[in-house]
Amino acid sequence: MLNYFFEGLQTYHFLQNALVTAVVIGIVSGVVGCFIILRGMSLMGDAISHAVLPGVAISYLLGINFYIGAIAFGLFASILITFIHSNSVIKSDTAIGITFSAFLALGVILIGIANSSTDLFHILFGNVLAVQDLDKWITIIVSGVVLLVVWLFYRQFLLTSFDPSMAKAFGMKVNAYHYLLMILLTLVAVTAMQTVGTILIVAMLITPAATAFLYTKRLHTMIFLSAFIGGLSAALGLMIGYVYNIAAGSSIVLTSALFFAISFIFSPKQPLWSKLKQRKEN
Amino acid sequence: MLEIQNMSVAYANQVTALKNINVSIGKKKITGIIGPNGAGKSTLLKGILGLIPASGTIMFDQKPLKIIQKRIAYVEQKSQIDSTFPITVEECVALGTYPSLGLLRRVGKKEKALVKAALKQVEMSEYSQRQIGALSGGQFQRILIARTLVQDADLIFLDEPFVGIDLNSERIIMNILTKLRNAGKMILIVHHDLGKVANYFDDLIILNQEIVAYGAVSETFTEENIKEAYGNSLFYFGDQEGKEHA
Repeated sequence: MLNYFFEGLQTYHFLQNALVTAVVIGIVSGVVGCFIILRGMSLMGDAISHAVLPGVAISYLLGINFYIGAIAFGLFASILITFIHSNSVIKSDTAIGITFSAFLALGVILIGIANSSTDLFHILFGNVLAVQDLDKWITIIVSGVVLLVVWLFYRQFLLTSFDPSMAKAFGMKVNAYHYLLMILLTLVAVTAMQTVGTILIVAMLITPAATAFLYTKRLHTMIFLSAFIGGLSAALGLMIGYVYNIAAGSSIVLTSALFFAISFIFSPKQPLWSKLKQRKEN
Repeated sequence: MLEIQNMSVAYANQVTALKNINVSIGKKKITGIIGPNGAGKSTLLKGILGLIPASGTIMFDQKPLKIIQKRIAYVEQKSQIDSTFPITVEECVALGTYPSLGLLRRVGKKEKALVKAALKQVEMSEYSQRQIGALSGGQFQRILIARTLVQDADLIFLDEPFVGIDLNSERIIMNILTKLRNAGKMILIVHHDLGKVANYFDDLIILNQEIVAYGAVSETFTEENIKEAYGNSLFYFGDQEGKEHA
C-alpha cells in the first residue's frame, strides 16, 4: 500500500499537490479547532463552515475572489446567530441550526445559479485530488496567515477562552477576539473546502483537537499535538483514499475519528480501558 | 472611593434584578455583600464591572471606572470556571500579568518571578505544574487569589471565594486579603454564609434587590436588618460577633 502511494507521489504532480494541501489544512484546522472546542463552539464551527457556501457562490457571480464573499458570509452568520440568541428566548443551538441550514440551502441554490465550473458535489464533499498549484499556494499562504495571527494573539485567545469575565473586567475587548477567531474559522473553512468539503470541515476542526485534549494539561501542548494529529490524519487519510480509490475527504475524516476512538479508550484523561479492567477485577 | 449612583439592572425578560442602588464604598476596606438567594449579589458586582448592562453611574475617585479598568481584578465563582481547561497552576496565575503586558508582549522573567512569589504566598509552590482540575476547591481558590496578587489591582472583586474551601485555605486567603486591605486596596466580596460576617468584613452591604443597609459591620449586621433582607426564610440569627450560623 505504502509503495503504491509513494510511487504515485513520485509520478503524479496532482498527488503531490493533494498531499501538501491536505497536510497544511490538517495542521491549521487542528490549531484553530483547539480554541473552538475549548470555547464550547463546535456547533458554531459547523455553522460557519456551511455558511460560507453562499459567499463562495456570490463571489463567483460577481467575479471576485471567493475568500471575500466567504469571510463576509461567515461573519454575517456568526453575527446573526449571536443576534438571534441574545434578542429572543431561542437557545443558541437552535439559532445555530436555523442559520446554518438556511445558509447551506441558499448556497446550494446560488451555486446552481452561478453555474460555476466547480461541481457542487465537490464543494460539499471535497476533491483534494483536483487541487491546482495556485490552490495549493493559496492554502499555504492563508494557513500561514492564520497560524501567525494565532501566534501573535495566543495570550488573548487563551484568556478569553478560559476566563472571559476576568478579561472583560480589566477591559480586554473580548468580543473583538471572538470575531477575530470567527474570521480565522472562516478562512480555515474556505481553504479546507477543497480537501474535505463543506460538510466535513467541522470534523477536521474538532476531532484532532478533541483527541489532543485527552492527553494534555497545557494549551500550547494541545495545539501542537492537535496540529500533528490533524496533519497525520490528512496524510494517512489521503493515502488510504488514493490506494483504495475512495473519497479522500471522507477517509481523512474517518482516520482522525479512529485516532479519537483509540484515545478515548486509552488516554490518561479518559482511562476507559483501565476503568473497564478495574470493573472486571472487582 | 467607589461611588455607585442610581444603578438598576433588569434581565432580558424585564424582571428587575437590582433597583436604584446608591452606595459609596471606601478604600482600605473589606466590604461584604450579603443577601438571600436571588437578591442580586453577583449581579451587583457584574453591573459595577460592566459585564452586564446596568443603568446609573459608577465613578472611582470621581472618574469613570472604565479609565482605571486595568487596575481591577475580578474572580468569578470558581464553579463558573472550566476546571478541565488545559492550563497549569503556574499559567493560571500568570494570567494576572496580562493587563500590564499590552498587546503583543509575552510573559517574561519579571512576570515569572511575580508568579513564583504569589504562589509562595498562597502556599501552593509545589503545585505549580499541576493542571487546575487536579486541585481541591480550596487550593483552586488560593490560585485565583494568587492571580489577583500578581495583577496588583487596586480594586478586587471576589464572588463567593469562601464556598467549598477548607479551613487552611480560608485562613491563608483571609491573611492575604487583610494585608491587601492594609496596603490600601478596596476589596468587595459576595458572600452568603452569615456565620463569619463579623470575622471577614469591615463594612457590609445588605442587599435584597435594593440596599437594605450599608455601613460598618457593627452597625449594619443587626437582627432587624437581616430579617428585613431575608424575611421569614431566616429561622435563626446568631449574636453580633457572628459566631453562630444563621
